[in-house]
Amino acid sequence: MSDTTAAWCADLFEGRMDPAQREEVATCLAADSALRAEVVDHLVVAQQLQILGSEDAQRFSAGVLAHLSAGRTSSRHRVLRAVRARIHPREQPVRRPRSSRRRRSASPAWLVLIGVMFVLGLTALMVANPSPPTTSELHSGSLQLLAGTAEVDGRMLTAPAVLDPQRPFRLAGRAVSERADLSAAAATIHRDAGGVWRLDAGRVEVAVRPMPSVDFTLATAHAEVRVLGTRFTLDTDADGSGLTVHEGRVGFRALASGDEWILGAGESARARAWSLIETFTAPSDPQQWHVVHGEWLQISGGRLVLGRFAPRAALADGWYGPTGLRLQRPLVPPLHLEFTVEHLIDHEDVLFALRLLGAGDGEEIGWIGLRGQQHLHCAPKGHSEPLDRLELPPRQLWQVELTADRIRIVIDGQEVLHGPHGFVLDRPLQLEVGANGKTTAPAGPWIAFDDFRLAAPVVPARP
Amino acid sequence: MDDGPSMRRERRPEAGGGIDDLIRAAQQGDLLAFEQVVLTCQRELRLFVAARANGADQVEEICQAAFVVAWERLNDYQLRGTFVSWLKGIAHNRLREDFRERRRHTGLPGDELDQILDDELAERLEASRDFERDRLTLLKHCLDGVGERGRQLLLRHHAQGLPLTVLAQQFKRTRAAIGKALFTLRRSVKECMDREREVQA
Repeated sequence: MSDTTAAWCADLFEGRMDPAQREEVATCLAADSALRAEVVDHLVVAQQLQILGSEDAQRFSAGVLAHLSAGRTSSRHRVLRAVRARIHPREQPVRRPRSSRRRRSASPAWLVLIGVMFVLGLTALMVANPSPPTTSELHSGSLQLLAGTAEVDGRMLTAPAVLDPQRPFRLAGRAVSERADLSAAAATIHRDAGGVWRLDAGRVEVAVRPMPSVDFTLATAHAEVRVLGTRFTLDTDADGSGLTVHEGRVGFRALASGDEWILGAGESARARAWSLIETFTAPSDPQQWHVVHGEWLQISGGRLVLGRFAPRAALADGWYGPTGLRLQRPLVPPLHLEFTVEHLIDHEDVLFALRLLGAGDGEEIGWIGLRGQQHLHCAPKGHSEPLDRLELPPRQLWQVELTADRIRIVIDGQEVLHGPHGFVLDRPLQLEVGANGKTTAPAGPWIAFDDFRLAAPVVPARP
Repeated sequence: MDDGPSMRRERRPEAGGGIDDLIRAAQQGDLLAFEQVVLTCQRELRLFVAARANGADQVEEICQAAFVVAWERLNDYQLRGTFVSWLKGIAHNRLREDFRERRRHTGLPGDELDQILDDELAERLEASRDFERDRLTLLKHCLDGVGERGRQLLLRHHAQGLPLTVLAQQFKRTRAAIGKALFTLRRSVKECMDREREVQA
């Protein structure tokens, strides 16, 4: 049995178990308490080892502070209330008394007055913010939030919770319905009266369980995705909607033109408000990306320069930017940047292109492109999210705190001397750029980097 | 060995006045001080929760919630150098609530396995309120006890997240063999930790 148990644990910890296998294992564990205990022992050790190896204290801390900051700014203690509500579901949001001494000295009249005001306040709060749906209020087609948070009517829910998909919710985590698994960093989703799931904003990764007798459609303002049993990513913004298929086949119809394409695994398409669908497949091998000359980033002992080029023209036939940014050691004081996102491009092994504008006059400083790996995190506006799941609406000024490995790059305006072409740091750093993963010396003379160009999107012949 | 049993006598985060100094500042509303508290205590707390929770998501959620609640109730904490234990108490209670909550929301197909694991962990949680076990040094010591190759294998898979297929290539063995080796190594670590706890007791 030991070999079997070892195989179970291997599959379980790697997330490779299909539902049938999980059911089989569940049956065995239910019948054998010793076996159950052994699997749990292994689970616990595995989890502890995971913590032992994690070096994300900064990210974790940022997550905690994001909760605290969110509660202290917009709606007062909203997140904290949500957390408390989950701990004590029946407890109403009450402010912590300033001191027990003051509480003891309060007169009965004051207590009555405070009580009346409290009830009135609670009533107003409940009218303004109705309670999130409970299990009993929901019917089939409900959505269970498995991990992360969801915002419903301005209230934060943390997993596990049950969502009513008829009401729009902002998902930052993982949820599951009877038909599909949804994962998103920040996507607004709801299910309309016709039963069609609608992605109103953001990017969501969807895994749909095959169910031939029932259609599954996910729609945006620009396109409809008809699912034939698959896994895919869909994003939408004011400009258009993009689809990338990871497994299976998906029908993609542009609402503006009525065009429909059937996309297979590895294929992507984008529907814009004003045009036909554009489809393309990026080469998965970075070596195939054509390297062109450029002076995109420069660095010498302590100085990082973001070069200038004509990104708009360049974008007409390709995407530009280095593939990674890696700092050699913590920056103290940290690097401060302020930028506006012009385009955020993600595809396959993921390239993010951020256009950097100066904080003062909005002059273009340069571009930054990052390969979206899990070790890169971003914390805009108090949310800590992996960069590869980050959604930044274009043409808005953002302040972003990036975390790379154990390194924090705090973005603000104080610690950096702004020049027309870049920033000045006080510590050397090492950059990994280009399709070939070139690195620079942390110090030394100015070094020009090659950027790379991804082949232009190819529009296939119409079927 | 450097990280031997003697390391269990190492200075705990709450042992000195440092953490309480930070807490005192945080009690005055200093969020930066509280950030330092989080940075100092997070690994100990996460390790504690990881020994009791079902999945990385639950570990993260419980730990974050524990720190948020700690911040909210910081004035309830008395500066006695027991902050980490106090924090673990919050996490412990939060975890119990979470298991109860999860049980209420089960019912989806494929959930049986998670439910069984949840039940087993919840049962263990009720049985023990020993906040001193599962210390970081104990785990490190037992990890060292499986030898360098075993230690590398465990860390590469569980800490760095390398899949078994990649490890199979690196160690020139089959995926099944790597899975079996990891199983044996985890068991060794578990037995070592149990032994050490008995000695401590």
